[in-house]
Amino acid sequence: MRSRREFLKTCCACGAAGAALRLTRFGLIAANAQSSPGYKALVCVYLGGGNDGNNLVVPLSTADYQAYATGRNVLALAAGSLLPIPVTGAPSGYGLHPRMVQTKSLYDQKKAALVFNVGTLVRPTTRAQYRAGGNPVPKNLFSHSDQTNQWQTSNTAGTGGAGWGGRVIDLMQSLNTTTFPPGVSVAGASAMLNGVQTHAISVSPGSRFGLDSFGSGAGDQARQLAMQQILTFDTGVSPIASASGVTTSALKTAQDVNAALSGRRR
Amino acid sequence: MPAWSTNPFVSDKSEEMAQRIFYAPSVFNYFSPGFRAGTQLGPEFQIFTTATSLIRINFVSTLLQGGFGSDVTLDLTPYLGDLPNTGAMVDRVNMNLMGGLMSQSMRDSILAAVAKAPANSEKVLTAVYLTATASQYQVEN
Repeated sequence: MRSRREFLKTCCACGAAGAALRLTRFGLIAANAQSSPGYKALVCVYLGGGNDGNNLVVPLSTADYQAYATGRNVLALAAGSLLPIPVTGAPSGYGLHPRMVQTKSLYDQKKAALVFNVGTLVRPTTRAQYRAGGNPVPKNLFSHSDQTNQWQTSNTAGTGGAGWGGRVIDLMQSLNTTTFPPGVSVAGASAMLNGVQTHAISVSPGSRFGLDSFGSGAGDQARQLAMQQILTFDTGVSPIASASGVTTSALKTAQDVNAALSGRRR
Repeated sequence: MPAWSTNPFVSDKSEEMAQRIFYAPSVFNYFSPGFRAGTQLGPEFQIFTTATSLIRINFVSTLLQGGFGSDVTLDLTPYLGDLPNTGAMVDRVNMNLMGGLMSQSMRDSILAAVAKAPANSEKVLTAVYLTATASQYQVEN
């Protein structure tokens, strides 16, 4: 299994050229990033395992650093090891974790910004207001799994529902002129990509995306035909309909993906 | 079937199917109770994706072709004994895998495929494969 870190590394190292070349075969993105000057992309990286934000950005003013060092004890980073970044309105500035060299460079070029105190709130809420109660707050606040879901659905009232990426795809669906679904996950089912009308496909890196055949050619052909038929049966039972929908979509997309990866245009 | 196997096939495949035995991906287990399949709650569908659905199907075909090695072998004798009565053979598969709940249309499709498989062993494997990979079977097992 590939780790998130490995995936992001390969994306950055060879992804821009390699992935774009492959994806153009889907007729999906006409190498926009390379050829269109106005091309813009919003890239969101959601750290499913969380991030130790208090060791990512550390305040450097004497009082604030002292409070941090006291709270963190042996986990605190030495003030001298931090990469200082200037912050308007905070003369002492802040320091980035010593390993965030590239981010510091981007920050210094004004190509990176940090947004603090972001969370899944229904409306701006102070700690005092939260403690006093009465202000609406997200369901199951402080529950990691619920908040993960709320980040991906932007629905603070529940623990399910369609994801915001999927809802965007629902609205843009008519613009997709290819057979290839716009939402693709390489990390399992994604609540973010789960639309109301549209559903993302999921591919598993390293696995062959398609059906293995066995036995005789005639038998194999007959099995595939029968499987296609069986997928259309018993759809009155909703879990069966859902499961068959997923498999039907997988079989259809597998053809497109494998054709593209083998270099044949469809 | 024996309940144990040292063959790495089991752990590898269970991981690919997003349900590695005893190793849930997070402290919140394998899937969330809030996950929806379409408009209805369907927690298990969080790990039933386009990727894992094909891997599950290929798991069945690998298993049927002896992918577990000598750890797990399939005894097809009773099914082979039903032949040449393919209806009786499919009914046995239906009873053993689906408790006799297979729909008539599904049974008809399986019988049509069984008729095309030349060898008796492939006829039996065809019936088991099409049943075990069907959504009708998977949502119950």
